[in-house]
Amino acid sequence: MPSLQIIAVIAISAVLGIGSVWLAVVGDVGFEAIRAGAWTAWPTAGADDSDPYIRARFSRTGELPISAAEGTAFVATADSAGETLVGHCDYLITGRTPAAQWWTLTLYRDADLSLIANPTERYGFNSTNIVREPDGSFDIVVAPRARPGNWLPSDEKAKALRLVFRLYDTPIATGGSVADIEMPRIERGHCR
Amino acid sequence: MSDHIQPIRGPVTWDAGQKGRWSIDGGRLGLLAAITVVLAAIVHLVTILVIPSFATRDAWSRINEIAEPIGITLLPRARPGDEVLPGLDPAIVYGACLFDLNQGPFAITAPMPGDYWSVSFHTREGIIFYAVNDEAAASRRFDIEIRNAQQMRQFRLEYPEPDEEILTIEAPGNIGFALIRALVSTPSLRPRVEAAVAATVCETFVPPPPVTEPVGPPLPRPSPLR
Repeated sequence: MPSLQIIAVIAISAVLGIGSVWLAVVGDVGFEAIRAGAWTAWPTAGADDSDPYIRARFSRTGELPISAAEGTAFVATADSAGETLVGHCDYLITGRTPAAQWWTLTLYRDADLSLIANPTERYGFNSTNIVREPDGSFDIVVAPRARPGNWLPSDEKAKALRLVFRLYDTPIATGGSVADIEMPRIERGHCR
Repeated sequence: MSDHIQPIRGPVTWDAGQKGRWSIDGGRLGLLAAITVVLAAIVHLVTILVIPSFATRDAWSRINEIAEPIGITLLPRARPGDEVLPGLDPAIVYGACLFDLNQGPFAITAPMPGDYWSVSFHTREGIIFYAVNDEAAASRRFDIEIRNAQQMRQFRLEYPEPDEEILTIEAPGNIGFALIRALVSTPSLRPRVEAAVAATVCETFVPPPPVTEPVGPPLPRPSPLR
């Protein structure tokens, strides 16, 4: 009957509409993203003209956005080959950073953006405590077990990890060139 | 196209046709599918736009829950399993001051030593309407006043000359919070950075009760002798 069809149309469109919102918000959709290798940034987050997907995502997660005047946060949930970052694999983060007064790199569980407990109480590195190569580049090893060098402890049981590279006071956010941002590579190593 | 439009004109024949309850001809199915897609798109857009208004666990709600109504509150240091907000930077000391411009203009003053710091002003809706960091503010004292549109007009009337020392910003909303970020470059500096952030002064100027007599020297009255 037509009334049944109307109900079916309304129900299906509600499921499709709300379901697609859920996927967009959980899946980090944003029209104003900057991509550099494995890394993505949303420099308009928090701005009054930011796109509604970015705003919806931040109000869902409860994160504090960094405004362009303060810096930019680059997020990676996959390695440079496009594979999801998982707790039971080791990752080598290698390369250089774009121009910024300061930077920090932090590892989170992707599910709830919580930190990963470890006996050394190390949750990330920053531009002052990283050990660099003579040429200014650096290597960071993300692994559940201790490693020599710049070891960033992860959790073997974590299904998905998130790396956040925060550049504080960077020309990128305030109209600098986007095309030639050089971000470190994330290479997958040994998996258990 | 006419195939799609035709069935909508003839629901009578559809009912009268004694077809099975669920048998639909192709044209009508196409029309229903088109309506479904358009409706789904509308639901999608409306939902995306209203999510921020209905969010109960957004940054504002979480900060409003833990922050003191007056003065600055240091967010507890992020530790695994004990984070007040998700995705905090463990290398940053965060301080938050709530403001409510309905009560009066808001001012924030801080002596900011240390490596990197910034202050940003967030509305309840999650919009950052002003932010400044140590580099950009090098020539200024860190002394910022927030006023709403009405308070701003009044302020401009009372003080037409801009004050070089104090930065006055117009807020798009009455309720929100100021957030101070200060970087801890080495763990040993953390107590010093925390003390500096805690020394921030946030205050609301509650205006004095309205006076009936105009303030200031009395106007010269015309002499009755003249």
